[in-house]
Amino acid sequence: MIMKHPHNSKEDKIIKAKDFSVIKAELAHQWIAFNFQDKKVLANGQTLEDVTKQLTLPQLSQTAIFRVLPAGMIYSPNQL
Amino acid sequence: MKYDYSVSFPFDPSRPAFRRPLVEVTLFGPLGSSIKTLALIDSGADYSLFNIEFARKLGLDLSVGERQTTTGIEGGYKELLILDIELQVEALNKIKTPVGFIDSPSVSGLLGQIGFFDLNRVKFERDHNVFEIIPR
Repeated sequence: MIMKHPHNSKEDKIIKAKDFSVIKAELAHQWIAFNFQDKKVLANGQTLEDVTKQLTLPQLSQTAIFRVLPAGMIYSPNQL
Repeated sequence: MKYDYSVSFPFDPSRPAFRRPLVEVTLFGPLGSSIKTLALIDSGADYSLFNIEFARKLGLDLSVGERQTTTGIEGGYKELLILDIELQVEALNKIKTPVGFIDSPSVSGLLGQIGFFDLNRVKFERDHNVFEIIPR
């Protein structure tokens, strides 16, 4: 993604923020596989292994797997 | 490389939102295994820390490595297993670095002083909503 940095005259590459807007509160404490392109939780479970065994290899390569901490991980780009 | 801050809204709506410097990180294990996850860039952490479940899934040998204890997580002492692994932050080169693996429900992934901050110039521009990682 190319964006103009507010304090730079040149164009800088900036990696876009991760969008967590569809992660629901009931997933707190769980492991999830999340696809940032589709904004979809592809799998969830109590352990990382529970999550990975639900995914195909191509899905694994396209998702980030992480534990949803109780403090929350919900992000909405409209509220920046 | 510059990255936008992510914004987290706590599940408790009465609490304020806060911004977090989060990056996608791929952890590599032996025999070509890898897992993509997220890590918080945490200047207050001595080591980069990832949940022990990543080490198990990657097939890392948990019988080797250095064992240390740490404080500040869950309010008590927790054991860390330090292993040298390869990891790659999104849009940067793959590096080999010491990582602490910890069995804690409070830790998913974070990048700390040893093996991350000491290998990169990290510039937080919170007022511009970006942070920058420049490999040294």
